[in-house]
Amino acid sequence: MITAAQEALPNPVHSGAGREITYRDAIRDAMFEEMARDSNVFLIGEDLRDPWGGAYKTTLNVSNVYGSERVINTPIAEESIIGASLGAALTGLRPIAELQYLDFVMRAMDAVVNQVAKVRYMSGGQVQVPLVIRAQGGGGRSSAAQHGNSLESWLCHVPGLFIAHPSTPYDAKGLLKTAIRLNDPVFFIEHKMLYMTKGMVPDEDYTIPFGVADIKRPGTDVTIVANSRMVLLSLEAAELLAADGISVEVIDPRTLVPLDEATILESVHKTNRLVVVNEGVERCGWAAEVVAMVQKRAFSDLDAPIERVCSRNVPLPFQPDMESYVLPSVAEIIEAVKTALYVS
Amino acid sequence: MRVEVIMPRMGQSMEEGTILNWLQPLGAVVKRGDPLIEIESDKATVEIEAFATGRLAEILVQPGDAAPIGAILAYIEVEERAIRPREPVLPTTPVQNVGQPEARRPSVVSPVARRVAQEHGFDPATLAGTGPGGRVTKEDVQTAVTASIDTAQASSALSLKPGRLDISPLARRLARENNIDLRLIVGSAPNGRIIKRDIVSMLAAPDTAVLAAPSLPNAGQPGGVVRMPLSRLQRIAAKRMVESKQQIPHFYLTLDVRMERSLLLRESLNRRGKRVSINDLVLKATALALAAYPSLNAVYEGNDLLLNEAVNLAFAVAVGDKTRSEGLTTPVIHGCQALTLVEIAGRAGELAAKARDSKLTPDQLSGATFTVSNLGMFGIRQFQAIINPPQVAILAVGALQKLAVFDDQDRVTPAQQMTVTLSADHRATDGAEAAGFLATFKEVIEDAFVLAE
Amino acid sequence: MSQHLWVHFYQVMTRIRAFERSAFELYTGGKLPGFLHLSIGQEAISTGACSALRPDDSMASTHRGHGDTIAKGVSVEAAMAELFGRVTGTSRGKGGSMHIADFSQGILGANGIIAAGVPIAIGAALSAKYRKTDQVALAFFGDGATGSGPLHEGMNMAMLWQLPMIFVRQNNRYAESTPVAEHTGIVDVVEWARGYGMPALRLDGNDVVAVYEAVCSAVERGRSGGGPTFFDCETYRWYGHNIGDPGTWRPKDEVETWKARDPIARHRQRILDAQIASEDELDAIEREEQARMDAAIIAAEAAPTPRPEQALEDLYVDAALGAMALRGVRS
Repeated sequence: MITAAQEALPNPVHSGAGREITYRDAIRDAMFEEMARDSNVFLIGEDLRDPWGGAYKTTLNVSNVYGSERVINTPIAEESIIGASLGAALTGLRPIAELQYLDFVMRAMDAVVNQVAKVRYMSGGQVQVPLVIRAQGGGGRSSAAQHGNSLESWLCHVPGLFIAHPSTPYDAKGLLKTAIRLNDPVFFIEHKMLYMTKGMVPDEDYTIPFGVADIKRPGTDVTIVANSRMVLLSLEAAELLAADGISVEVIDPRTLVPLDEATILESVHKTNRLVVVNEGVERCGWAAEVVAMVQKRAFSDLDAPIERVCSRNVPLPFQPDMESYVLPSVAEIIEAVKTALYVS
Repeated sequence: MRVEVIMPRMGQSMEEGTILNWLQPLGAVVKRGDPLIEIESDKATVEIEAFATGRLAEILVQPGDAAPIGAILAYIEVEERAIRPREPVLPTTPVQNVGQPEARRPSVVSPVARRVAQEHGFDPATLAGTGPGGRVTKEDVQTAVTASIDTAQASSALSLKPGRLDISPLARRLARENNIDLRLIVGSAPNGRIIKRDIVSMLAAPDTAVLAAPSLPNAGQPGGVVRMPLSRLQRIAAKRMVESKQQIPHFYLTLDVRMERSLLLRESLNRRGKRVSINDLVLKATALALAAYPSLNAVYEGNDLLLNEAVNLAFAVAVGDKTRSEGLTTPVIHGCQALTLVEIAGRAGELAAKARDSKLTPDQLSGATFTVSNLGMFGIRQFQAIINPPQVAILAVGALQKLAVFDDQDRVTPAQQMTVTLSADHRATDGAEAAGFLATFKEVIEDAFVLAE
Repeated sequence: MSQHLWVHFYQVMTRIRAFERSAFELYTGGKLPGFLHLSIGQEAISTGACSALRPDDSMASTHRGHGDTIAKGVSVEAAMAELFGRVTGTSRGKGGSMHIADFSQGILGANGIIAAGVPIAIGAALSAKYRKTDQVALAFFGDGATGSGPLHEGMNMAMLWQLPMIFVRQNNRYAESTPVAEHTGIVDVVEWARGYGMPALRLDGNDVVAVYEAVCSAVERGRSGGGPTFFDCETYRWYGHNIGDPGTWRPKDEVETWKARDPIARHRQRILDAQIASEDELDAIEREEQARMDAAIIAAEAAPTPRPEQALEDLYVDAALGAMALRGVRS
């Protein structure tokens, strides 16, 4: 589903040609190009090789080109996939590990949290961990409670990781290339509902720095901070609110860790109102972190309580109507914006 | 120093209050603004905050006991520092005797501090300075002034605004930057929260009364001035009215209507036990006229006029006694276009009674598309009302008058005449349209058959 | 066949024991914070296995890792300073006893999580194969790890990908306090490893020579593309699970029986029997190692402690992004 709001996104400024590709192909292209650039880059995970090419086809044709040595299919053993990736990263390689569903990270939580994120610190800075862990999360397709989690907040809670959470093909490709080139572990979270969305991506090699938010839509009355698919919903809400004369600024931090606080604070300074939209369940979520940050650093800029729009505090249900009810919606975002504006 | 905690006055009719609960135990250190007592008056249960920071030293009235307004309920032992937040740089001479002025070295006072102190009737030499070398700064004076106001409030039955102020952080900052006393501002956000736009509109309407640190000339002394705080209702109305008069291009049309026929109708209905007032006749006629003139039954918003299908009529009800108004409240009769005269009369009666008992629900106070204001019962012949935004018009209704008039054949005959004045928003309508509305109103109210339908 | 290394084995085992005895005394004397898991009694496995590896081979150890890491080349000076939490420690005071490591020596870390080192070693073995080197990787784990998922996942992966991987089980008979018979559903775990398809052998873990020679053959097989090998080494820890546990809940005669099989004393006798070195020479080695330890303790105690705010260092490689990521209300 491509929303009108997303099609209205301004094309990034790049010299030379570009083309419109899907989010999925943007991710695939990033890996493909980085594998050509550096022979130490390889893919490891479940079902990656051709002809299957990954559960969500993000590795389609990669093993056809680079061979099965560089696209390693694994047993269904998430802890060992991540543990082994760490061992490879500690011995000179730059693995890109894929967890087929973000939900499965729970099987690998020790490897992610106690090993990958901490080994540099525990060793007093002896090592580098150039490891990217990719996973797709999120609801919207009746994937139910064990295949639709949005666990970015959990991962943000782990010191030692960087967390990228792109919303557009352009961001996905640029951020993934940065992730692959960084010497720190990066958790790169994709969204299953975004894979088929399209956007302009330049032909030239480019990267997007971490910790730099993108203002997806400028506005003056209220600031929405959202990530991943919630950016698209927020843009839709902003478009509808514009018809009511409400000017919404939509900020996509693109990386949750590190967080571009400055862009958010600057926007709140301008609008005096903030709505944070995150697909994870509300309680103790990433949105709460943004709220806490803003109330601390921009308290005197706030003219209204900060609103949060997150999933309700239940597991994701299967039935589509129930699922929609639990997930954040455009209507709820509009409602939150109006509340923040004291408009009923 | 001991500060008295007194039984506050929480309403016009309140004479005494009952302590339900002490929210802090004896001996507790309370901060100014902390909830201190739960008090029940004849109307409500209210949490009263501590007006001073200190130790709750003595409780004189126990839960379950009543005390009259102004009675001392407790004492808070306030440290000197609570009034002078910062210690002077140089130690002062120890206090010799309680009750005697502290012996202290001569104060150095900055010129601006001296001026501010004089404006507020303070002797700056009595203040402890926090500036370099113990210099008394402007800030010290302002702190002392604020403290004295707070103390005055604590010992006075009249506080500017009891309870916690609901203020957005941004509004608080703007108020501080612009030296505005937030206690005098009515918030426009839900629950009366003061937000940026309230400060901005206050700044746009320069009114020295809202500037901070007001002096209290002769407060409480015989022959002096009594500060009479406006009720919440009045403060909200005040703000709305200022906005309306400043922003809406009002114009006014006045017309006389003859009431003989509708009065006969009213009499006949009343004889059959159906209570219908003159105002009810006006409401019904207004509803009928508005149906023909939707642009007056509208809400002005940005560049659009939102025409309402429903005719929701607000009518003003005075709260308080005749000499001291506690403000007007405007209950709303929803869906008047579909109501008969008797139905309108019934609803109006119910709402007016609720209004006087302060029992109107938010629904019954909102959603109006037009307002009727009637001062006829006070004998006012004619007046011009202020439009209540976002509505675009209001009808001011004067008293019924028996006049000698010329009839069609130029004979002098007695007439029951009433003068109505329409205030209209020239952004939403124009003179011709408004005149048409009034003409229709006249036509309808003079035709008892149409009213009775 | 390995006689030229016997004295070296003796020296390494003596070094490990000097380190751990000193650590024990310092800890009980209140000089060291945190946990301390001693491997006294298990020195032959650490020494024999690691002596079969090259410095560029990888080794993953456990929470009871002093012996393994010293045997693989960590400096006792830096390790002791780490126990003291000094800036001169292997982890500059951030790791402590359970995280002593020197990655330049091929150590992939000791590890506070049971069996967590196995997949990391698998990754190193995979990496060696990917990079087409002849390096091998070795994972130590205790009997307590025998029933845990990562070990079995690792054995499967090692076989699946024919990795140059060596599994070394340090069976000291107790998972914390639970005896092997209460936590492992097979008498001879070697059968499990064979079930995965790899060669597996039970070894006398208190015989440094036996361990060394067995691991050497596994290393050889690994380097030549022959895949993984599994060893189950029987041994005993003389002390309790950690300091604070006197270990007195174990049968006294069991403890005494195993102390009588002290791997260092056994190896010393073997050297003397083979007349490879004299009593005096071996005594001199012991004195030398103890003196080195004493000097290491003095140096560690004298070394500066980290400034508390150095807790904010060493997390991220990228300094600018790291600083952003670290930013919180307090900093």
